[in-house]
Amino acid sequence: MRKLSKAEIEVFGERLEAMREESLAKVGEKDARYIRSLIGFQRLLDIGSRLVMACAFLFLSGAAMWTIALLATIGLAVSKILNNMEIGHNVMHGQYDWMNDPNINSVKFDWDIAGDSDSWRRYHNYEHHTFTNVLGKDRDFGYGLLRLSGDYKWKPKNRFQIFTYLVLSFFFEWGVAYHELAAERVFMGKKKRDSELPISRKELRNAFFKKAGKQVFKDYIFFPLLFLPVALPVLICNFFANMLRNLWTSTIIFCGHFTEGAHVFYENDIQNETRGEWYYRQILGSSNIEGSKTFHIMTGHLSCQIEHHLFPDLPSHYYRELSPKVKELCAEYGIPYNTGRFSKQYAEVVRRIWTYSFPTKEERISASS
Amino acid sequence: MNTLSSNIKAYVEPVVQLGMPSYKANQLSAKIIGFKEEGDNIFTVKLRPRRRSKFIFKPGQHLNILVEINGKTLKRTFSISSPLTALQKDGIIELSIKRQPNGLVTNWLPLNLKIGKKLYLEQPQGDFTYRDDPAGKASLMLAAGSGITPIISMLESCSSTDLKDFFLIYHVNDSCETPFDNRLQTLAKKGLSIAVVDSIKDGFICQEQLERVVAGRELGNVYCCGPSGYMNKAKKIVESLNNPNTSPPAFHCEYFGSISVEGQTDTSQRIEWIQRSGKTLVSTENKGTLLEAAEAAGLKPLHGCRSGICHQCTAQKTSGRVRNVLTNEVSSAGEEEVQLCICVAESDASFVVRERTVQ
Repeated sequence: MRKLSKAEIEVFGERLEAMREESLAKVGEKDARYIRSLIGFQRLLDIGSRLVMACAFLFLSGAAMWTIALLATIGLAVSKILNNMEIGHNVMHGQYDWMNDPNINSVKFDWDIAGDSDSWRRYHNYEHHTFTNVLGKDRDFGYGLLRLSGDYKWKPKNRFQIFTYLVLSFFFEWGVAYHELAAERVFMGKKKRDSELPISRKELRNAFFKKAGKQVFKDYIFFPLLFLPVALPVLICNFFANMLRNLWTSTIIFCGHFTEGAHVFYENDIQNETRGEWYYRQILGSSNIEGSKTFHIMTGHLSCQIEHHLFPDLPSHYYRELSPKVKELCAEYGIPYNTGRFSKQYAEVVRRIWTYSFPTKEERISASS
Repeated sequence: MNTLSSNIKAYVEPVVQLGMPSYKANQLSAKIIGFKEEGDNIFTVKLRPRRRSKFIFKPGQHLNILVEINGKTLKRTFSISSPLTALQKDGIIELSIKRQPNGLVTNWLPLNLKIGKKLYLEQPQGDFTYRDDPAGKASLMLAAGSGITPIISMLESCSSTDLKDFFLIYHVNDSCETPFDNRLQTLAKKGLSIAVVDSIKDGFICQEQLERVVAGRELGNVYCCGPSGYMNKAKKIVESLNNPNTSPPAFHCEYFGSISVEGQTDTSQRIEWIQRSGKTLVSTENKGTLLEAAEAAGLKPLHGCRSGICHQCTAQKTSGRVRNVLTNEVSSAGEEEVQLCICVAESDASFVVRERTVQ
């Protein structure tokens, strides 16, 4: 990778900016129709899956019951995935704020997940997207649980981090919900002195319990009780639907930033960072997954993580058409553009988690001497 | 409004929209039943509000209409120009709208409104309403251009009584094409004293003109509606009219007209910051972005990146135009969400700001 001059990086940034403006000029009625019909479809799928699931347990038996219930559980999981990724994540990034819709906007939208949306907007939209992969600044890098870079000192607990990763994947929504509270040490640890939290710690805690409570009530109390004779199997299916969604979102998101080629940065790197340098860093810190249109929609276009990090508030489906252009521009400047099939990217993630489970060579040498 | 039923309606709204794309939940609407030109680029839309029991207005009030143009919902405010009696008898209201040069909505409406279709709107509001004069005193109405719309509604609403105690000075751009000519003549037959002034030929509002029309009558209330320069001048004249032996008339005004977009490079816009507590702060010298202006005014807006990435500082603009400094795009004048950290004010404006709740 050749070193780019400051001037080159600025021109590179301007060319990306031009791509963004070209796409923004196209945004209009068809995008409004797209997001509205997707939300409509997702809500139908949500209601439909829950009804079919209950009916299967109420009126069927044997293999037919289990097959239908399984399909309904997958349907509910798909509904939650669409709600969280292509709809919630993108609407909350402000991609549809231009519509002026009272419900579809970054301030009001709430998603079907345990995490409070205000909290998520704070640490994800601001912290993660501004300081992407900057060690010590972007808490999404390893989520404070995993060691994914030799810059962090190896600790004995890292030996088991592949299991930590698996548990995190299955309960990902709770990681998302607890993320900011962990950083603010709301329940344990020493209170942070330089907290920039714009609300009080009590408000943060209350918002956490309110949203988590609402989710638990909905999936594990309200809907099971609504179909009372079959409350238990409905509850179990809801649990599995949540698990499936957690596993999918976690897997896709890990492929976006923790592949072997994904760069990390230091606080020094971002001192007086220009817009061009910010664009440059976003590309180096992210990785894409190749796939079909349906696959891209199911990942909320986080499969185009590079384009998402370049243009976080552009309606996500534009990432698909921008991806080859960004790739070409990167090739022109000799900037690595990290993309690949799902199997390749995921294998790299697992390898990265595994590699940093153990001390690096230098750490082993210094430990033995 | 956050009742269970409105939440459920909002939840199913996108589902209903799969089949009925123009459906909006929790939104008042009216059926469009007529359309006519009034002259001077003003047109009138005749509407029959649905759910009539919930719809009421005081003559002089205005309401917001919502239209969707290229996927974007735009909200604009127009005055009701029909009398209250038309609503009470026939369930009808009229909005009279002037086409603004380069106006997105006012030019779109006459081409796209279809008779029989729905128009979404909000409840009428505003304090510019008719009130009874103390005994023996008269009312003076001052209107310029499309500022006649709320005033004609007021006059016609009390037209069952004698209009001897009413004066109207109406400034028009072209006296050969006076909007609402017929309706004004009907009012004149009931006793209203009308002076139509051609502002191009006969000039702006002035004291002699006003004194000539009022002819020494003591005034109880003055109603004024037109562009802000016109209203400021009218107010000064009315104040100077005051006879020291009597109490001054009450002056009521309603700002009207489009905001100029071009050539606004000064920083002297008046910005109102509406806080969650309902308190309003005002800043008049605005340096830098809206976020910086809000902070200078003593607010603590939520914010993050300060460079337009994270949408933390998104605030609700309730009026005015802003310019995005990254794209140089100027917003429309209605209610919408804006990013404070990358916008500057292009006109007087007001915002509802989300703030930090701790120091």
